Amino acid sequence: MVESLIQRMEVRVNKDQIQESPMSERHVEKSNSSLLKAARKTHKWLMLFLGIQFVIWSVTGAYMVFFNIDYIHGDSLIKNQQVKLVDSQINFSIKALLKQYPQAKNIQLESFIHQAVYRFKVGKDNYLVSAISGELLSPISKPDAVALAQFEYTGSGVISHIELITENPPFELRASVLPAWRINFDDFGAPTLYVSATSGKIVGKRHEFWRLFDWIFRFHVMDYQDSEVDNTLLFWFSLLGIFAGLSGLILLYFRLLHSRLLNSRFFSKDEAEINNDDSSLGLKQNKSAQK
Amino acid sequence: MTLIKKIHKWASIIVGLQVLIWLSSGFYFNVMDHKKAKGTQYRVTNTYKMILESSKLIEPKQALESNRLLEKSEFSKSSNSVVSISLSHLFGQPVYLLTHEKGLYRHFKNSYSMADAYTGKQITIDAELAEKLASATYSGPGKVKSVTLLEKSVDDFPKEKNSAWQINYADELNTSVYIEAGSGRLIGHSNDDKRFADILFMLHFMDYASEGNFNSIQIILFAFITLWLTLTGFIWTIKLGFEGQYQLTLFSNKRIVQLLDKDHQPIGSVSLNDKTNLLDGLTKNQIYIPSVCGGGGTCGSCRILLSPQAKITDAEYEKLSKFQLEKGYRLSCQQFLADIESITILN
Ligand code: FES
Repeated sequence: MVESLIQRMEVRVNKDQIQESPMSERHVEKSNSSLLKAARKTHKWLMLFLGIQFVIWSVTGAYMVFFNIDYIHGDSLIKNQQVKLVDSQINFSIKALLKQYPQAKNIQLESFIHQAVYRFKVGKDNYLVSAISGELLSPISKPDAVALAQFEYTGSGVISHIELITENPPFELRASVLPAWRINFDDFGAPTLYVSATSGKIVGKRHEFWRLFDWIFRFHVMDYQDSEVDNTLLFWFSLLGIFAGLSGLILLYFRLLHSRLLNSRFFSKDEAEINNDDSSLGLKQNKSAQK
Repeated sequence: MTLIKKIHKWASIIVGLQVLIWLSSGFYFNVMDHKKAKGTQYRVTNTYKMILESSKLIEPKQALESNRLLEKSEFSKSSNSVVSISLSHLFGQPVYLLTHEKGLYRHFKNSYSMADAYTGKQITIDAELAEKLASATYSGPGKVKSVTLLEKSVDDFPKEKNSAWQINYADELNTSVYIEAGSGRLIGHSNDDKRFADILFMLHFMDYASEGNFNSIQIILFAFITLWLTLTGFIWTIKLGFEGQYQLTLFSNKRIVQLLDKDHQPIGSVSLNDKTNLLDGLTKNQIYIPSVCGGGGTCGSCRILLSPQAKITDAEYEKLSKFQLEKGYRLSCQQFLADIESITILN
């Protein structure tokens, strides 16, 4: 029994001691084991360099999937008020408007808080005109901007900071919507609403989770120089990453498949334990005993 | 450390294949033709400009009134409230677009109606109009194959929540153009290139229900398990570093070591270098020690006999009994040359 175990426990020592191995199975095992060793080496060495990026991928990926994307986009910050248009407020006719602003494009009759207004563009500029009186309302004043922000904001509405941004917008605001009021709320996640000073519309909403998301995404796609998803760094990391992952799967395959083989072929753990005192350790004595 | 390895194994059993899918699809996103993947091969801007004779315009107020009358006379589906009236156009002809319910985004649920801005007559985007609108943005060689109203969902644009006309063109890319049924807005173009990329996005986001987001329960679960996989792997790697498994053979020293057989009889000597583990070193000398895990310290089959003083690694504590350790048994994949004089091969 032990004899056969030992025989199977592989086997060939040195050139002087070459034993014939009649079983072709052994060759299979050999090529298997060299695949295994190659996989072990590949996985071990590649992960030395890629491992940290794998951690970054999984942490950033987890962040992105754990938080609902609509929440990230700040949808829950905004009430999206549906203010009905009322006939009685619409006194200033569209014909009069077109007479006054012949170049007006994209004319819309909407509301600013509870007041009916015309919004339109002349060239690149936004205009806000009262539909009640025809009076030009843009650029809107600070109190108006605050009133709109509070009208739409879902939270408690304690404001921590107000500022008019006319140039050099922060990363999170498109330059095309300037000038805009930045209104920070003193709430969980430091939410900010941006109100266009010219159109009197909410043009941006942000909170810390979104700001973080932007960074998280850049780390996820390894965009360290504003080059987006198709950057060379990501190319090499994901390409090598595939090999690293593949070698890991090979290791797993052997671990699952061969741990069974191992247990049945060589020794089960219990067996090894039992044999401790004699056979598996004192091979010599044991062997003679068997004889 | 045993626990770390166990977690690593179990996590990889569960998410291993998906990790490979993530890597491959991620790689594809890196190398794909981003222009093609947008599906806009044959997309052009609608060049119609509004021709406005302001004297003929009816007032938005009138549009509002006729809308109210209309809603009253008909079997009213939505409320007759209007939140916005915009002066727009269809092929240059001015129209009023009335918004009854305004979604936070255009692809969210919106509800519209449309009226001729000169006559106030109701306009609905029917198949014919939708096809005309679509073709105004299409520059490809294909003829219109079919026009269908999709009321529930648009497979090519899973985020779109409004009903849409699908206009299919007979071109080599199977282009489809989508027009929102309520407003006549162009939702977008799609074609086989985009559809292929979308499949990979679907796999990457595990968005099998095509909900157009990456917050499904399955991906949350997998992401969570993947965290365990990478963190345990990270710890394992650091541990390997401390155990000296990351050494460059470039700067190695070689030394001759005696080999003994299981009866402690010398059977020769080999020259080993001090930067590779004994398992690999011996293999290089055509001495094959059994190994099932390939040197991972997890199978315990690569036992050799050194001396009781040889340092003991975690893997050995786990795979060898106390008695064996005291006797000097070790795992060859965990051991380095250090000050070893002789190695006893156990078979
Ligand atoms: S080779 Fe498996 S423990 Fe050493």
